[in-house]
Amino acid sequence: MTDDVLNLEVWKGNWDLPSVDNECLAVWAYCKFSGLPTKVQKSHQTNVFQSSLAKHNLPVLQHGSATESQLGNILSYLKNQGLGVDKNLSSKELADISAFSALIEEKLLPAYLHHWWVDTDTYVEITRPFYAKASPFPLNYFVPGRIQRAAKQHIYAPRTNDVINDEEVEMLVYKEAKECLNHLSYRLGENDFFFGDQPSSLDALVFGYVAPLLKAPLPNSQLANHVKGCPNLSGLCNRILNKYLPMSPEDLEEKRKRELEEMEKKQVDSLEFPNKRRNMILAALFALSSMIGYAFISGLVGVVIVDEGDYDGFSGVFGDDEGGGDDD
Amino acid sequence: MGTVHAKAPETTMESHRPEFEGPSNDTDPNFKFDIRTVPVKVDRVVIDGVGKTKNDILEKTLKPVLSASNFKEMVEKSTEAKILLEKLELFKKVDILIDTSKGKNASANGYEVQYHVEERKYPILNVKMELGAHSANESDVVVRMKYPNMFGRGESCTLDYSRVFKDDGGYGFQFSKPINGDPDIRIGATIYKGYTEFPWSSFKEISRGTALHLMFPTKLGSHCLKWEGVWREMRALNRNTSFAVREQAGHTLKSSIQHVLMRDKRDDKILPTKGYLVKLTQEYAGLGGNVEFVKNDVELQYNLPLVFDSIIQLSLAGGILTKVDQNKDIKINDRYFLGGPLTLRGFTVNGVGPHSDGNALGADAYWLSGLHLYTPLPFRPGKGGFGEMFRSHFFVTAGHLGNVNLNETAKENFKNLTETFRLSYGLGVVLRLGGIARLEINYVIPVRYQIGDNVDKGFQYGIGISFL
Amino acid sequence: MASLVGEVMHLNIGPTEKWPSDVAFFQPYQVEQVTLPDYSNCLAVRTFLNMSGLKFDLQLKTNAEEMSPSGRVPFLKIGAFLIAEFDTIVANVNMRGLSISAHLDETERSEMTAYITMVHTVLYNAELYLSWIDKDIFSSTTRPRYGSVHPWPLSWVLPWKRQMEVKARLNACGWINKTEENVHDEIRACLQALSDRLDTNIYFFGEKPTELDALVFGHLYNLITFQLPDSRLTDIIKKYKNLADLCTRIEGKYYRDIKEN
Repeated sequence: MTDDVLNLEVWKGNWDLPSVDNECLAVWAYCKFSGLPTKVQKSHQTNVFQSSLAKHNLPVLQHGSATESQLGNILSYLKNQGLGVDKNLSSKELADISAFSALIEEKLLPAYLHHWWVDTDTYVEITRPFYAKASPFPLNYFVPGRIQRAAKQHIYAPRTNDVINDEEVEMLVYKEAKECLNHLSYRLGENDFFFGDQPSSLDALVFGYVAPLLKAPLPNSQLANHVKGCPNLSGLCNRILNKYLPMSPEDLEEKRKRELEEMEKKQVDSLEFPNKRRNMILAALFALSSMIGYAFISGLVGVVIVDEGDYDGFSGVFGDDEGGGDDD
Repeated sequence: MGTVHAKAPETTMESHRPEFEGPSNDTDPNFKFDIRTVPVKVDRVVIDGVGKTKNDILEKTLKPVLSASNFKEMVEKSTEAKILLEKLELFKKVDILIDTSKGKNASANGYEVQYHVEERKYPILNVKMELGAHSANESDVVVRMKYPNMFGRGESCTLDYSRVFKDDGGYGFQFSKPINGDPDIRIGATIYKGYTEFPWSSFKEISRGTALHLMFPTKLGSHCLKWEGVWREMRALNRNTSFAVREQAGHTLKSSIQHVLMRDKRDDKILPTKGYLVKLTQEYAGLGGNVEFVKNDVELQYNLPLVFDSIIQLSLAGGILTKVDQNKDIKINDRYFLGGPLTLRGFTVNGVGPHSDGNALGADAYWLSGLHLYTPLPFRPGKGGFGEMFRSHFFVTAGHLGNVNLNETAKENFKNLTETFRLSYGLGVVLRLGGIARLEINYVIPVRYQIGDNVDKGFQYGIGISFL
Repeated sequence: MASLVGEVMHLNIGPTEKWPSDVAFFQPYQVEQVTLPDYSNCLAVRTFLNMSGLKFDLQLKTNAEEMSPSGRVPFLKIGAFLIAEFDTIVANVNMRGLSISAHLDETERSEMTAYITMVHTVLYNAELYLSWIDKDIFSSTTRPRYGSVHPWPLSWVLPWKRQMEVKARLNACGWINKTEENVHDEIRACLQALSDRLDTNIYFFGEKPTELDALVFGHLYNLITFQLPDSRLTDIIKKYKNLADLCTRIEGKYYRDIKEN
């Protein structure tokens, strides 16, 4: 029954993760927990006509005739279809999931979005190049900008007003995120998963946020450091990765190829490096001297010796004018 | 007074010579020529270069020239007409050429007065740093587009936009039109949005308003009658604003009529040497909106020149604010403030009067007086030129800002106002800026002040367009 | 949203300064002016203070919103400090050692925070939607109330301005495209979760009420009793019997003397 297969389109992976995007990771992990037959399509392996990126943001789920995008909608859809491991939970546990999902969306998501999409260093060096490369042409020009604009709206619009400015919002948002991570850590406690031995959508959700922060090479991230300081959250993340989302053979192959490329590039760079700088300086000097030479030869610039007597003609300009001020 | 052409005839009175054959004055050095005796008939007044300016206003302005009966009158009247055209801002340039009347209809002693004018095709656009654009004594960068004589009868439209170096800027549109070709009678309308901060009271205000005004002269002086409707949003400036000020945050809608009578017989506004000024203002707020009060202000100045080019100046100002509805308090954005390097010197800007947590609260009544002595700079550097923009300045200023207490009698209130006053004296240098502003650097010694005032002893400098 | 004004407190508060006797509570006029979502928050804070046994002086001001340091009501004046909005006020009270949820362990406190956040995001946004986006309720209730204290033409300019701000906020969190049915569904889902959590207990976390009980009471009691064109919301809430009983219980215990609305 091919109808049962869930087609999931996600952002491509990096840094030992099958996908770098928090929502994609969450949905994918939840499908894996639930043992649902899932066919995953990575964003960089599609073209602009096949990809859902033109209309929606990833993740996008296609099941039979239904198409859903965005994490909340996908999870609701699965719940309504009676799919997914959450159906085994008690009503009280489901209530807790609603509450903690609200907590995460309200307190953790804004800082997460800011960290990846608004903080200039991270956005320019990591996020935008990655998402651009992971999008099929020509969407790679539009999609990162589109996501950034939506992220900024999401962070600032509900929080700024006459009294509170952008910087204060940023400080507030990071503070709340750290508190949220603490709450999640307290709730998880010593357990393997939030509701005992079996994972739930809440585990998937938390995994989606925590995994990229743990695995991406972020130089100076307060969020990442805070996550690393909550060992039970890191433990949850690794547990899920190892058991449900191990690296597929293709992913491993890709990773090896990429590492090889980077090493080669470094070697080539270092060979040229001492000469590279010297070459650049020589080229600049050459260009400058040829421009100056041309200017002199063609008469654009000339050295003229002036006798002081030539300046008499200027005195009239300042002397006779009356009332030079503007009276509008 | 007009432009100097290299080729066209010059227009100054002294250098013009009517073209007629007559005894030349080259041979007789004692030849005196009285232009009053030369009979003149102005056959025609021609105006050349008119495009959109309407005929009726030109006729009204130029008609007096036709009545000239002698040469002196003709020159005077044609110059007066030119000045009137300039006041109406109808043209970019106005040049007069007086010529003998030619042709078969020319009468004996006939002259033709020609006006060569250039109309403005495009509005004037400028960007500059301006003082007092949207609030007195504050400088902003202003982009202004002005279109004088927009419809042909001297109507002037101005659009401006200013951005104080922070978030909100202000913008405004003004329309003004002389009535019946008389530049002294004007009707106008304004729409504006402004943003002002009041750091002495720690609040900020966004105002959006519209005003209609009518200006006209009478024997007493020039009058201005204005109706203004303005919506003001007042908020605390920052976290440290005192609660007494923060309590007044909110929206007010003021609809008021104001009458100003001004009689200015001084020879200059910034550094007058003689003459006097009387200015009376009355404002009634309460025709709609949620603000009600009656305000009366007076400003007087008298200048007397002394020996050695010194001037002694006495100035006096005062105002009183009265409630209309006893239950409705008057808000801080309508109250009076006092103090500053150009008014009651020796105190910080608006630093006199009741305060709460360091924020000035303003009050219902004030008086301010100053006795000034202006002399040219010692040793007169730059005499006749640059140095004329400066003056040495010796002064004594006194004033009071306080609330009218309804529980006391008028006599007791008066006693209060006159006993608990502030006094300061000092000396300094005044510099004239442009045509409307002044810079002062003074050394001030405040002698009498009340607890709560923000005294600023010693060196003080100030720049602004409103000063006393 | 929490305000940072309360943050100043951390440095200055000493152990003896528990709760001054002249604390003032500011909100808009109850009968004519305050809107549905604002009143939920005001009632929640007042209930919280009553539950904590903290006295305050209720001050009704037409310009409470403009006076507030965060631009939102309610706010408290405690000595020289101004503290606005539910979360910040609760944090401030807790910091003074007057917390009513001190008996909770870390896990329970995390759960309480999560449920409080859920009420803020779902019920508050739903109330904002219904008051400002739903055309019926906006023109019959919200606009006349919000504009009632201002002279014409501000009486329609200011509600319009506020409506634009609310639309921007709801757009940013994805609520603007929801239909009224969607919003009612969201309310039901939230109430279901709260009802499941409360189960047969007296209060959410045992025998003693916590800030979560105060917040839920504030919203639900307000939704039931606020003057709206129809009673659909009241009907939705009454279906969750244990929540309706919780409201009755809190009203009886803490508002015996005061008649609301």
